[in-house]
Amino acid sequence: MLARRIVPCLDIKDGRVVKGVRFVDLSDAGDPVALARRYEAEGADELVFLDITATVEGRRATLAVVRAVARELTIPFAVGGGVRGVEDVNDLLRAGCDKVSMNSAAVRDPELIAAASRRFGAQCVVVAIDARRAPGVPSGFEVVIDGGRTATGLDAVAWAAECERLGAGELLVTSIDRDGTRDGYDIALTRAIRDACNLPVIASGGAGAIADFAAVFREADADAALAASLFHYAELSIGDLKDALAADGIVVRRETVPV
Amino acid sequence: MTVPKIAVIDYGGGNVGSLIAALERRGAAFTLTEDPRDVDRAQAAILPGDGAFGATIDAIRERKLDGAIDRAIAAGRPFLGICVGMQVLFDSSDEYGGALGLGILPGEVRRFTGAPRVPHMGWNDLVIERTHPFVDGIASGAWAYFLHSYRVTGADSVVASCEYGERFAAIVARDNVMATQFHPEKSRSTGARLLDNFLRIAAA
Repeated sequence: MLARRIVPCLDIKDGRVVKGVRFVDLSDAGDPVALARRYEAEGADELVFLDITATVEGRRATLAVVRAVARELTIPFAVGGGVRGVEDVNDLLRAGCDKVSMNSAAVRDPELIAAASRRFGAQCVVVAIDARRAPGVPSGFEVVIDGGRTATGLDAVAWAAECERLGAGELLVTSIDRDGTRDGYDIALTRAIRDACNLPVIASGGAGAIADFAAVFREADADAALAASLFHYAELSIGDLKDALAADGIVVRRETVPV
Repeated sequence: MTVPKIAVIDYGGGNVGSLIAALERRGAAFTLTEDPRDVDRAQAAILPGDGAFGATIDAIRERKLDGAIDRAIAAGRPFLGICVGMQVLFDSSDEYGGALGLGILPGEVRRFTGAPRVPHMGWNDLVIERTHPFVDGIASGAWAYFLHSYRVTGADSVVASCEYGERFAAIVARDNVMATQFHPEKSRSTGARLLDNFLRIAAA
């Protein structure tokens, strides 16, 4: 049976992990490869790297990170952040990631989704949707872009359906309202998007406790749940989280054979 | 033990970095090539794959790799197809208007119909259907990471299946031809075991 996925997210800038990941057993807390391996060993099902670099040099460093991670990791990983065109997607895939996530550029030019899907296949095209509650749009959830700075007036639920039509293979849905709050995932947002399309959905934003993961899987039927700081600060280990979810009757992958 | 020289067939499509790294970690002697003559000379071959069926088969034919793949398999040399590299071994696909495959194994590639969501994405467990040296040490319940919208139907070579709205072919094998719908190099311990098994078979 298809397992619900647990997905740690790492922010990288100029080739380094930022936001201070704190693992006592790692000598270099900014090394993307060491952290990726650490999460893999802990039981992460896949990883997301979010590139927050703004410079050309930084982008080159990101590609080097992707190449290094691809050589070391035996689980899939996605890379997003700053993807503007099909050539960016090509560069990242050639560097070795399994999926590429696009966000603002896809809203500005939806044809980018179709072009990437035709060329590389839907399975590697992730559309990241950042949404916030807004009474002015029909579903009550509006798409925001540029890292949450620009409101679009676009209905997030309608946009999710449009992404599927254009050829996206997965949606990464982040609640801007919940992001960083630890108040739990936005179940209503995730559920609305879940019901509006037939794509796998990764829920993001607000994870604070084991119960939040159980809720987003059970109540919103999310396929995967993403978290960052909760894992980075070692407040919750992925192993403990998966044990608790499994005890709760949720299907998760647990490896019994060491690699 | 002789170290087999494996041709990893690079037709310009797929992302082979992780596969190459996995082979390097195992000390395998291999060459990454798009030259059919290298495939002819090799003791074993791997056909990786990513993306669309039609583009993959076109790229294979353009480089005249189809003949080399036929010859390698007919000569009994161990052959491993991965993902779309598995799918093109079959008769045909209906992806993007349809295309003919290499016809080495009987079966058709079709889009999922009864599946809950498409693509089939994430870790799913295998059901071992019959024994083959390729799946030695792998039991039903082993996890593999899937990432695909199309699956093989009507195959008589299924060694392991997977449940996703239906039972579909996850691992196929017939004599010296082995193939996986998922990427072993992205499937942690299950994939590691399969790669080890293939290298052992290739070295025999």
